[in-house]
Amino acid sequence: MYKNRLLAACLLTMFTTQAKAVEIGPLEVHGFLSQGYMHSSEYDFLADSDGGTARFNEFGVNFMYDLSDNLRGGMQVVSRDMGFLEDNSPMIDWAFADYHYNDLLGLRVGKVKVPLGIYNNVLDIDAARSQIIPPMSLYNFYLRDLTIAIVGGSVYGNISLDDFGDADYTAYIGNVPIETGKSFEGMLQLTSGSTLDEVENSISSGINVKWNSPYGLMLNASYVDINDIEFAGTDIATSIPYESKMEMYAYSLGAEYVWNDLTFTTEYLAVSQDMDLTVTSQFGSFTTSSSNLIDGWYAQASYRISEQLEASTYYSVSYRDSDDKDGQDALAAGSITKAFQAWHKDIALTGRYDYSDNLTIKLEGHYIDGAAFAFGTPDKRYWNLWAIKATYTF
Amino acid sequence: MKMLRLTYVFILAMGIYPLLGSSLAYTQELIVIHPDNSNSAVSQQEVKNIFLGKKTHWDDGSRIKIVVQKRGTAHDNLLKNTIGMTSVSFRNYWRKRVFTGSSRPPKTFKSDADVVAFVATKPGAIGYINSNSDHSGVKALQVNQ
Repeated sequence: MYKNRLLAACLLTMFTTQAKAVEIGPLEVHGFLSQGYMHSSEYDFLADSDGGTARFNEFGVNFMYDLSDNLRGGMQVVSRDMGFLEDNSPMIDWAFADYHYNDLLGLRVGKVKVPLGIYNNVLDIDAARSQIIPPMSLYNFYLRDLTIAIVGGSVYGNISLDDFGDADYTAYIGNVPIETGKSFEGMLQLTSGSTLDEVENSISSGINVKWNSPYGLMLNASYVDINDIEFAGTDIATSIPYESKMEMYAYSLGAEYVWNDLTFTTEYLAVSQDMDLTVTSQFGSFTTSSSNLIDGWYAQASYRISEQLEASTYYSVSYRDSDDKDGQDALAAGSITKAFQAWHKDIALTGRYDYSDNLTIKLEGHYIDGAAFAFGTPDKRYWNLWAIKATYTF
Repeated sequence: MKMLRLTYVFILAMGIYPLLGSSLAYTQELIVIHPDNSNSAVSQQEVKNIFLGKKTHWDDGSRIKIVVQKRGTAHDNLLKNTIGMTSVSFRNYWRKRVFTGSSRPPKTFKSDADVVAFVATKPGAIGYINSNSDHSGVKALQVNQ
């Protein structure tokens, strides 16, 4: 009863106040609370969405501290719940020291977010984007662990191009912090029906370049290379353990054009994976090698109707293997049972309501063709999903 | 003939209005800095980069402290004419920076007087106010197109 009253008081406060960041001397604290609900007509998608789920939230708090005009430090802790993949255990989202030598050159050391595409580094920040579920073709949740952050260092800067606008760059190298029970394991369950029991962290290096023209056009290019992802797990059906070594590279190209209250975005992503899988049983040790190219693209338009209302839509297409877009090879090999498991084509429509500077509510519908990223018996090619999410930031 | 004249008037009005609007809007916000700041003029692109957190230091190496307004005419004009964003996209832009650790957010005030009071006491500070507001105690920065 006391908890319910406390929750009600918190919610009432959230809806009726304009919260500001907490400032304690030079220390500044910001945060976000995001709670959603999603329901799909078929399949579990990202969370246990078949039948509906409210296990779809994220909370985060960060602080930043200026040590001097050029040196500062900060950390963000995030807790997320997303079906069986995330369980609200707090994790360090980023934590680094940032030395800003000048606008052309800065250096960050620690756990840093890395860019892959235009919106990769804001995937956890619901209020900073138009949609609840970003296009899977570029922002595939199952690749999230591999591509969202590194423990290492990055250099970054902004180059003025005078009449031609300016360019931002980021280059980075470091360890990929992969954990069991999160999105990477989700990808393994989806693609090979296996668990992740142990993982050796691997080295990731990449670069992102963004040109901001003075005409509302922004062009973005990213490249990432991840070497020697070594992990061990168990095949769920046979309980046979395996060891695997994977290498991956990905690149993306994107453009965003802002014209008054209209924003158009399109991006393309290609991910190449090479994997050696070693299975050890009483009959000996067997190694098989495989490689595949996942690719996809999306086109998106959003329109700011008023200060508070925004409508947006996208069409997103992605394939589990771009050399087998119709799924016939995978069907013949027995790795899928229906051809439509080879693709994911999604039409999304989102309404966003900014109730105040701090509170955002979104309602979203998806009409999906294919079951490439869905869990469940593949018996329906076409299905739909809707979601609602409220986010409070301070 | 009357219809033709009306059409001319309409086309003329449509052609002049944006220019008039742009000119008026441009003079409606005044960029202000601390009186000890040695800068007297910057380009429009520099103003944009300053308020987007991309230009973080003045030429003498001191840190730029950005001050923005929550809303209002000066705020809307700066965003529209110089930064090329709406109020909401500007807020979201800073949210992204804050929650990715890219930078601390700008100080936010509700009135021209609050902006002037802050800028007047903080070396390195830069803000914007309506051009007809009292700006004694701060220095107006000329913005070259």
